[in-house]
Amino acid sequence: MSTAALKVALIGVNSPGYRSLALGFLRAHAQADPRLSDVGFQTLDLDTDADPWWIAWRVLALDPEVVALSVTCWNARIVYEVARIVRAAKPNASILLGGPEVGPIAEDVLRAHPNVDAVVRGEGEITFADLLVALKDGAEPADVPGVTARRDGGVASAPDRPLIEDLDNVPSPYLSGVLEPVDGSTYLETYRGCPHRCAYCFEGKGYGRLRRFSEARVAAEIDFVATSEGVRSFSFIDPVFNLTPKRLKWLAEHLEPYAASGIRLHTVEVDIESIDERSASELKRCGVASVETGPQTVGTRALQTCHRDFDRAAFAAGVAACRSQGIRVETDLIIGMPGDTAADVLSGIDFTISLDPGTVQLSTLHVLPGTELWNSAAELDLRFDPEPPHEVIATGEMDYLELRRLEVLGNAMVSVYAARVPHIGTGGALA
Amino acid sequence: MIGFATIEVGRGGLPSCRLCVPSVPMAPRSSADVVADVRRVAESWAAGPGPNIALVGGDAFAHPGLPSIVSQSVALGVERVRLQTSGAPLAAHGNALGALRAGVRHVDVVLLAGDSGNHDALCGTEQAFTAAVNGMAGWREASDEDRHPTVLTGTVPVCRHTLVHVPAAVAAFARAGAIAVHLAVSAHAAADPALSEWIGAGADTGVVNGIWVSVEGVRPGTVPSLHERSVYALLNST
Ligand code: SF4
Repeated sequence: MSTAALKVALIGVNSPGYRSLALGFLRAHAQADPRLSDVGFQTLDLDTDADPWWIAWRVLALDPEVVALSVTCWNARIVYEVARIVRAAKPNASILLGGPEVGPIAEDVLRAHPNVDAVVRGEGEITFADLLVALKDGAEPADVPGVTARRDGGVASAPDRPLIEDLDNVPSPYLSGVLEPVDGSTYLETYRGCPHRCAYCFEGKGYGRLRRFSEARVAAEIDFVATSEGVRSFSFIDPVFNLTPKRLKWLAEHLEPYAASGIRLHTVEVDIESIDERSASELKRCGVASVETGPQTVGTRALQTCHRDFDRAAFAAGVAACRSQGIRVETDLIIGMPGDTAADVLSGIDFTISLDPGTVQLSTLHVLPGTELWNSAAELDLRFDPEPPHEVIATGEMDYLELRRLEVLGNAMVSVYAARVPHIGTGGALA
Repeated sequence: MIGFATIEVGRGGLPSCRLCVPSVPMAPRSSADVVADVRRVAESWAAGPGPNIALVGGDAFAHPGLPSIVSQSVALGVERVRLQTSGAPLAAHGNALGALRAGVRHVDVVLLAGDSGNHDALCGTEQAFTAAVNGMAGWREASDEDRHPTVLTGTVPVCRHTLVHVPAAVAAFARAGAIAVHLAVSAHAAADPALSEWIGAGADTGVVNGIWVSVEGVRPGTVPSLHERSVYALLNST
């Protein structure tokens, strides 16, 4: 029988094949907190294709007093349903949410979802630990900085919590044993924030300035993951892997021995326009098998609205440099950007396909809570589904019918590109 | 947009409306001539990702030298081999998997209607529709089995007799897992007062089923202009 004073279940509802790194950080930090030494933690990483009733069954089988769920636009509908079922089955359990889908609209979430008790806003590690201490001690959750919770029949928000100054104070989920490295689904984070400020993205806005984990910490994580049994590939979730030439060189030096032994990095996100022959060879030294990049759009107005740079020649040169090193490039385009016409979207598809990058991916704009597009949607004549995943419904340039036509046409064009017999030098991966 | 250089593989063997253009058996071109064209295309390819070829003119599966043509094309560096068929040969045991393993990634099937009664009557061949549907299923199964990304597309030759069957034909392609359908509208059909109604219904049937419908041979404004765009470009290779 458990002797824990409080049993906490952390629930990730992830894309199939993924595990929640965010929950790994939350748990590693909370477990290391001496105030929570008598708290028992368990993590469930489940897939978005799982039935909510089955997810609730798995949660309830743990008999937790606290259920913490990480929420993105992709899993929000499922999470809300799980919360409803868990609440009905175990009325006294505290149901806590956190993540980019709920943090920026915490009060609205609590008003719309009576089964949710509190929302952790922003960067979660310290806030979550403090919230657990409050729950354990019977204190008021709504007094914990960074928390929005119910109080006196209403909803109250404590002030925002400042960003964590020294990221090394957050224990590594891997080095602490919370997350076991698994081949292909292990992701490392080496810094938080993003140097860019794309209007549709929470990353650039949510975390503000760049904060880095120390080189010693990153090196220790790389060493641990790369030497873990069965791990032949892993990746980084950093928004820009080639952040600076100096940092890339340091990563290459550290990763090269592992790359030489066959360890590969898959789909690291890069700023492709700054990749030349030299940095492409550094990526190869790192063992990078594939990179993911924009341009998201090539339309002048959308680029301007979303604060994105796009240099056609530099982009093409970056793709060519990666390909010359045998690195596959996944180019991403978004349909439904404010300012884009159908012709802009088709021009983007034609441009990326013409570069023969390896993979072209299309997605439809999701207007995410807290982003600049969310806040200025009315001004931009941007209409989207208020319910998650907040897909765009119409823009000032394209109505609903045209957007749906464009999705079907674009996806068919991309399928035609993808169906090929790859020949050496045109699609080969490193592995 | 991906371009495919068209290379004639022969004439005939594809379904056509017997009330307009009676179909004729496939008369194949010599394999040596076809391969010579492929070589020329592969050596001079400058049209973006590729080289890519589309074997046109007849049912490619009726060409006795098809396996050799495909394997030589791949050996010459061709990345995308596209061929057109009635679909029926793909149902024959081993044909779909054989074509796939040889290097075919793009198959285009011709239908005149969306059900067996009308398709069979229009092309004059009993069981032709069922064979085409089975062939398309065979192609999808082979693709799944070998885990290769492949493409299934459809073509509907639109004449005065097939026009009313366009929406059902698009739906049949959607059920078969096609990603796009091309409507090649004849001059006669283009003058039909009901043209925009049927073509528009076909295009909309495609969009709601996630399958792209491109239209050729109609006046601007007959369908939303996006539908004038195909998912690939057929390039004249001569
Ligand atoms: S989309 Fe990428 S580059 Fe832009 S702000 Fe977000 S993380 Fe940064």
